[in-house]
Amino acid sequence: MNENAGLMSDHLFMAQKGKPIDAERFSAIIQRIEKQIVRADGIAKSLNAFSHSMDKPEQQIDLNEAVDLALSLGSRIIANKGIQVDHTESENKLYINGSLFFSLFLIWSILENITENLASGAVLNIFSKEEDNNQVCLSFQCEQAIFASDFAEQLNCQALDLFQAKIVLAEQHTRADLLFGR
Amino acid sequence: MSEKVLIIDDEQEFTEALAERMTNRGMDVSTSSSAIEGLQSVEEKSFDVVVLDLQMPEMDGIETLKILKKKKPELQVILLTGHATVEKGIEAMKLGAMDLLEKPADLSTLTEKIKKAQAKKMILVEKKAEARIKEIMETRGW
Repeated sequence: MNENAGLMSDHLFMAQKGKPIDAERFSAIIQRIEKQIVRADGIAKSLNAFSHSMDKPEQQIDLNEAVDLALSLGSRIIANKGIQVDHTESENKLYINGSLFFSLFLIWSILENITENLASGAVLNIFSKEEDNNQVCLSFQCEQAIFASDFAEQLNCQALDLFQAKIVLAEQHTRADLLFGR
Repeated sequence: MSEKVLIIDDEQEFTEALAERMTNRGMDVSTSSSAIEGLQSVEEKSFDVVVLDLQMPEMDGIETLKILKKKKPELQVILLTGHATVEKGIEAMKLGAMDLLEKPADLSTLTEKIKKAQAKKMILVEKKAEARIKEIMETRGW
């Protein structure tokens, strides 16, 4: 936005010196600025949600929204690693109870661990469901068997404990299920 | 003599706007949207300065800086980052970067640094040429 606004200033300055304004060029610059404003709005919204995530120590958390927020906050880091993340939202709303801040921390810990081990070009699928025993399950799946046997120990145990959650590895270590206890 | 600048940044709209502003100020500017593309450009054309983004997909600015300084030691590199820290600054300088600027970079500051970078490169190239001539004269016994 800064550069495009500066570019508009440059064109106006040149117009004041007698060079006619190229209306089409000007319009293109304005469109670029508008596009960046939309992008900035999205970033501001995510940061705002994150900054307010500490407001309540305990609340009912929409799991789809929490995952989307974690992905939004970490999108640039994930994109820079060349990893594609596909988040399939559950058909019905799924809720967990606890601190939104620590739920984001837990989800991001898992994502960070996974993305460290995935090569550029890999696809990570994230999806959630309610198990038969009403436990909410958030699954992370990729084609490669990247989840080590001690994957759960590598994560922050305190964050898992806060949600009475546990990690279960499945499908020959290509999938990790985060099972919430509350 | 106009400064030959290569801007390497994955944010194309930022690069295009910055390139146009710098061209309006008399610089000869090329752009690349990735480190790989930028390294290719440096092989094909001669530049005085590379303005390089620190955070890019596939290969970041620090890795790119190492390769640039290995291929073209006299080439001057100015790093741009959205979050400048003292540690990053020190790491960049140790690897041979001329400067590290935080985005959004003030254009007049950037322009001044590019002019200094061009002057520094010219001095290095002249010294290299002098050393080469001296070597030739010594080996030929003139």
